[in-house]
Amino acid sequence: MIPSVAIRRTWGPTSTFLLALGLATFLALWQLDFLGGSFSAPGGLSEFRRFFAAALRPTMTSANTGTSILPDLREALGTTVFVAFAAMGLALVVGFVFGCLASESLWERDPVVMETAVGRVAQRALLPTWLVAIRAVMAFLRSIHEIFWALLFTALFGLSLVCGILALAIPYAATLGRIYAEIIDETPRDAARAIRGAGGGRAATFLVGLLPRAAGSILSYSFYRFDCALRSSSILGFVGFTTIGLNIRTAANYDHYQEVWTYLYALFALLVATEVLSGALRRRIAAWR
Amino acid sequence: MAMNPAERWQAVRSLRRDAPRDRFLQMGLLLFVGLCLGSWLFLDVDLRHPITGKSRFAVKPTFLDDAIPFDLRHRDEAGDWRLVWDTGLFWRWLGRTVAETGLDPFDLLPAEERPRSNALADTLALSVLAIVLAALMSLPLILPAAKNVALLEAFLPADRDVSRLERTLRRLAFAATRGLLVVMRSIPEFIWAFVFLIAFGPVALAGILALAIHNGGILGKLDSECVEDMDLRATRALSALGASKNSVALVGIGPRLMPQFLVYFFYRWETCVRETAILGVLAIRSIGFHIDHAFAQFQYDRAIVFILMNSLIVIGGDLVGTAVRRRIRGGGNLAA
Repeated sequence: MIPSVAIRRTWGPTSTFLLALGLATFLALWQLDFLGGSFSAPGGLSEFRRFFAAALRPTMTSANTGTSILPDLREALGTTVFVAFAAMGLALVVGFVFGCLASESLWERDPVVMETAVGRVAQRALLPTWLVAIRAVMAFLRSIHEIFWALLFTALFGLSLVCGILALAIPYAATLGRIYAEIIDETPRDAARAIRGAGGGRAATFLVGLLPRAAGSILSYSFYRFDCALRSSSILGFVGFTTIGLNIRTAANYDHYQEVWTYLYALFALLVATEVLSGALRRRIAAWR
Repeated sequence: MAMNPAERWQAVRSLRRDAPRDRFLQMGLLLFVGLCLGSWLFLDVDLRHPITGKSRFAVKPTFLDDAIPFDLRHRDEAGDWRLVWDTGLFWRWLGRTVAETGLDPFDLLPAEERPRSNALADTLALSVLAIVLAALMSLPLILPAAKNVALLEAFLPADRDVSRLERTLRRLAFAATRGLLVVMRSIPEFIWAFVFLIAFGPVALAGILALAIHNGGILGKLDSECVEDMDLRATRALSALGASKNSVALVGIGPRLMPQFLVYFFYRWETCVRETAILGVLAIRSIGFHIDHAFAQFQYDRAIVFILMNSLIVIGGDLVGTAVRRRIRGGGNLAA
């Protein structure tokens, strides 16, 4: 038995959102012709069947050369992992700088600054402008997907893993910066204010009073982002970099579906294992915090 | 209360000694940082071009030529392309390029006869349908994946008193749901889309399904963690009043956590807008198709315009999402 009062009280802003969402869904369906022609595989149902039948029979032998694909697989997985790590290395450093610069806490208004005229001007006029500017820069860098950065860099410099790493690092640095800034701003500022009040410098206030308490969340989010980096790194192969996506795409172009499934299963295993491992690390961070 | 340096050192040492330590975490962190720095050693990173020997970051001259807006491109006496600025021509070129995303990219008829199909609207529509489907997919998985509900801790002791068989089955179902969510979310939407495209052909449904599975897995995880952090007094009180487990879920859990669920929903929707665009690389109708196509034809001038158009809707989605999340809940921290 559901108490009717409870139901009546559930209508609120949430329900309004849901209603708006229903409308948006209808408009979206209308835009896409209600998904008309939603099944148009070139080979029809037989291709569909052939592809999923191959899922049960992944192969280790290349249909082109008759040799084992294990070396290819190993190399592709290695490249995928190392590209993700290399990009994360860059993104962590740049993202951390972004995050600190974009956080309000770093620039918090306090009596020491407000005593001078320059400080007052900086606080009232420059700070809001600065925050909007750096956040806009981050939003822009983030809004271009790593695949598009990769296409752009390939066009600029030619196809090279460096371009893939850079393409991955740029939007990731911007995303990390945004989230780091949010984390730093949600950290309680009492310790920082105490240090500032006791005469600590701005750097000490930030580095000792704020950062250590934000470190757990920052670390946790960085691990999560690595999972994402690994996924993105594998996808970069689809635009020509030598990560596992390239093997998948090539095998599919040759209609070697059994090989496609071998690569897919290997990738699934890698991604799930990473997810589980980073999940364990994140849980431990939460416990340690 | 001043300490001399030796005392201070002692105090720091004892603090450090008593601090909780986690070997697994330490090793994980060490390995993570080590690999972030050292992975370059394992990669075949060519900072010089293998043939010309020039720096990898010397911009290819052909890029600059092809990045000049087409209408402003002129050959000089030496036969090189040069940019000749003309504001009127520039705006006309920009308008024409932008208008091209309003035509069906799959049709090769001349521009006047091509059917209309707005790439930006398609991208947004795909992202909306994908996130709605993702939410619907995650809905039945949230409670079975929340430990406190799945293993009955959220109910009164009387309800928790079940047979050993049921207890085992509940544990199994909990583990299976968690496993399903891990698989759903750890496989990228792009890979899902690739698989579905081979199976279905280049249709919107393949993209929607791909985005929905991945994001459904993420929403299921975030939402079930939310349920696990919930205060259990309300659900226990309801079950004490005799409410069935379904009623408890419907009345005691759903409405209370809905704002939080919506926060995650809008957060994932923002990501969906961004990811929908790249599905165009796989020939799904979104702005990414135009971008990929322009790159493939070395029309970098157009590619840049399309990328910027895509940025506009991604940033737009970001702003809408952030505003909505802020309204629902004081802040919008995504790091949870």
